[in-house]
Amino acid sequence: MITLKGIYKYYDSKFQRTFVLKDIDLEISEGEFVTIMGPSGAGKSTLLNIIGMLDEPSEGEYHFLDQPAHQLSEKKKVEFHRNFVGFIFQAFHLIDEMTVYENIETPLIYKGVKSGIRKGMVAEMLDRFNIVAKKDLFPAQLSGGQQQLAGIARAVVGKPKLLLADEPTGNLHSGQGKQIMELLSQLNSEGITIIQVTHNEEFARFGKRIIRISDGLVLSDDIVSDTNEPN
Amino acid sequence: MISPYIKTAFRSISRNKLHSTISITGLGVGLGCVILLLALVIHEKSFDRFMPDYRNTYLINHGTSARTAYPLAEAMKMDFPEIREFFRFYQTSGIRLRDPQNKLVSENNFGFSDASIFSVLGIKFITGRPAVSKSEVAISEKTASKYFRDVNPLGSVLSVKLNDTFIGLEITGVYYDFPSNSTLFPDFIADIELSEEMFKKFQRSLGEFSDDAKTSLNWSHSDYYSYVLLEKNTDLESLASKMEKYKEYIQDERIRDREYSFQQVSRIYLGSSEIEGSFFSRRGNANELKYYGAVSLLILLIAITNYILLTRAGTADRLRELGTRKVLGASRFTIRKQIILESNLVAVISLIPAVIVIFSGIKFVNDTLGTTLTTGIFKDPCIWILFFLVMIFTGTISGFFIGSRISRIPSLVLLSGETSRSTRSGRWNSSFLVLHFTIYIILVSGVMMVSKQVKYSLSNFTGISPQNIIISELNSEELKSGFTAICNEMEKMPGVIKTAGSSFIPPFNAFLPVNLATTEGEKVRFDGLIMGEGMTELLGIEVIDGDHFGTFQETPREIILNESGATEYNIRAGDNFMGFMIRGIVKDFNAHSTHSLIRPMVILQQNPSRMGLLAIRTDGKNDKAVISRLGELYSQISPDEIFEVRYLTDQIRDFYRSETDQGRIIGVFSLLAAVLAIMGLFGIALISITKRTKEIGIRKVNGATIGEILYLLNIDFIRWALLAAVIAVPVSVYLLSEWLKRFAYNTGLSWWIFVLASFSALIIVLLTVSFQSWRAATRNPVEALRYE
Repeated sequence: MITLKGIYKYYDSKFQRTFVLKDIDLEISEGEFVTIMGPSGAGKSTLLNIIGMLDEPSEGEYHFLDQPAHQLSEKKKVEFHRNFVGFIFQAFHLIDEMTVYENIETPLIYKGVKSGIRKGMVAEMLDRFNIVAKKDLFPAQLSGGQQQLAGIARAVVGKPKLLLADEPTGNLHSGQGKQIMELLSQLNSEGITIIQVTHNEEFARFGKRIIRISDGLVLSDDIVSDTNEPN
Repeated sequence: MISPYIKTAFRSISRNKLHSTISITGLGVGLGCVILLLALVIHEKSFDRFMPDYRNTYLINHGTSARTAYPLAEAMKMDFPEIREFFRFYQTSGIRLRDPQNKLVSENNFGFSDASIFSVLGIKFITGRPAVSKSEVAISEKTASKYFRDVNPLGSVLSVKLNDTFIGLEITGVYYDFPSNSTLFPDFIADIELSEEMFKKFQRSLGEFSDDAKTSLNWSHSDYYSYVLLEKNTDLESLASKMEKYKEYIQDERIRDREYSFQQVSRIYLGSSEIEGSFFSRRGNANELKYYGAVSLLILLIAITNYILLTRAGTADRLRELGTRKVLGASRFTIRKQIILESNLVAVISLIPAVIVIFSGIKFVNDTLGTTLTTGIFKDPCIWILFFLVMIFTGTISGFFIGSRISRIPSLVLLSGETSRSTRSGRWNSSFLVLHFTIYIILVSGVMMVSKQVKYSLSNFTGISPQNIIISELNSEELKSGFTAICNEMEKMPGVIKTAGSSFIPPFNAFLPVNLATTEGEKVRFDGLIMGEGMTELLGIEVIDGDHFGTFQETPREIILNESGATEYNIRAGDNFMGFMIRGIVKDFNAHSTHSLIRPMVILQQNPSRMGLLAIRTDGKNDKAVISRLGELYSQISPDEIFEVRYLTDQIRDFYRSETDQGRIIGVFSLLAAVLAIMGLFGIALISITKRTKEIGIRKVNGATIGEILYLLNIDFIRWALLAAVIAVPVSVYLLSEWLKRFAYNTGLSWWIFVLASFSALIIVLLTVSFQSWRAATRNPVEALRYE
């Protein structure tokens, strides 16, 4: 599904070139649950953003579903965001002026889903994530965990193939974090490919594959053994 | 697809209440001014188009005069088949009449016309019919309700004093008021032949200087408006050339050779700047109209740029939202659409302050510009379409500006909240700022210049000291013959320095051309005045040769010349000039407004029993008693008269009404510009200080004082204000020196005007920016750095 070949990301300043990612080769197939780990400044988020087409690699090739993503036009990228990918953020990034319901509905509006069908889809999400009672509240009226639930609902309502989560539990306490991670596992078991970035070793093990990077280089790429799976 | 946007837009407007209020009010005030001025322009252009066949209705001009001889229009109707209809019109002011309660009142818009005026203008009667004989009058709806309230006025007799005696006029009809966009505006319309009385009165006021007193109306009475309604497609030039034959009837050779021409009624109001004789009809000023059009565009420009600035300042916390939207699949186009929609929504909401501005502004505009704009103009759908277009234009342009930048920022940057790092937006902001302050400085120096010139004009009448001179009119035969007695009585009053009579008291607005002629037919033309004995002394006019007027004598007639006149014809006091004795030569003085230069002038002496005006110079301490004593004397001598007095200084102030009014209008605009500029500045200061929060924190941690931080934050803005001054000063020097050219005697430009205007801009900048930077500078630096 995702193929990265020789991906470099660097910033040029006057006298030197600062590398964020160096020669990343990566293959992720459909249905995987990948965790990217590493210290601050290792390039985790940059890698995730390149995969999510929020950022562009300086060099290298990126194929998404066998399409050369590094050559996509602005228009095609918008299509990609609408149809194939959902994002979950550390800071939730819900729109403050919108209710929970409207927040979840927004991607469907951009996708051009008809109003009647939209209602059904949003209702299904609210139901699934147990936030029906909160649907008319604004983000500021919710707890962090509830906000992230709404964030996940918004990310998956459009039935994306790929879910990208940048430290989804970073702003939550551990109880709420665990709940969110369990939800992600469940979504993965239903077939959505998930890539998450995290600092938390425990939550990292919810993934089936852990990629550790440091200073822009891949250090290790391990399949998580079933015995290590947390209970 | 649209409604969710509107919903969120509303929510974000109501969330930032202070910010939204400021930007909506700013935009609304700007929009209101623009629409008000545009409405004014439309109104001014609509004049006289209410007439049923205005395309074929013409006013006859004679040379550069709008006024023609009494018999002209009637003769044309008889001679030329092209004339479908005609009417003549004359109007006078200061007419005394007795109201139904027998109280004496003064009426200003007393018109005389042929009955056909109503059919040509399309003015209908509520009841009755036009006046058709010399003992009848028709009155307007307004007048009828003023004097008769609910009583039917038909058949009532109004007692009107046209020529020193009261005559009874029977009311034959009540007509609908003339529209506000009509150049004519009579409240009474009497038969045209009755206007004869007015000429008799005027000729008497000139006394023996007029040669055709007491003749009935003829070709020498050339003070009438002649309107004609022509057949479609009449060849105006050939008609005018056929009118050549009327020339022989005109005795005054100065005007005999003037050509006749036809002015379509819709062009009268704005197209008469070269035409004289518009005393009793409304006239607009096409140049001023262009000027107001330009100013309205300027205000729109300020309002839009100001809104853009404020909105950008406000979008800082919305960037994250827009970033999220982009990640969720919104394209650049959708984002731009959303922002344009939102700013259109703001424009719609800003209609509320705009409407308030419009309705409270109409009276101000009418008062200052002497226009007749009414809210009735908003019944016109065109105005609403215009209204709508201006609004959509404003919303879309500003939305486009705001949106096109934001939509181009990558979503990652938006999400991180680290925006406006680009210097480009900073450059836009500061150029808007420079623009606002340039306009502000130009307007403020304009206001100061105008008031300086008006002040100068009021106090610098060369050769005349106009202070403390009380003037009253001698309006009846009794008062005229009692003139000497009144003077003697008044001079006994404490506080009265001198009394004198005159037919004209300078400075006055009109010109009185006087021809001195010898029996051999030689003629010399002068600017003229007619004054009584003592008037030159009373006005403080200085004699440089000979003497002031003595006791009036029939022969030899004595005259006084001014210095320019004496020099031009090389005359000295005591000389005989064209059959007149030169009594004295006076120093040049301004007999008219300082718009015009002093010309050679002759002062004729008036017979003490024919004075039209009485002037009293006082010491200014006892004026109340003086005026009430004068009133007593008046009512004793002539109980049928209304007693009115005015000061000569008020008469002078009237000359500069249009300048004073322009000053007031520019004053309001500059206030507006100042307010909008402050709001914009507030916005920019907010952006830039927020952007530098971290920098300020670091500097403070490293030991910077509050004073140093304040300096740091203010210096940029001061630099922009100085740049604005550099641009504004040459522009306003040019504009103001052009404006000063309309005064023959002007105060000149002064450097301090521009320094003061620029300085006031600096003060505004310092106060506004310091208000915000103080908060930033005194904040605990830990707080600022915590953001990282």
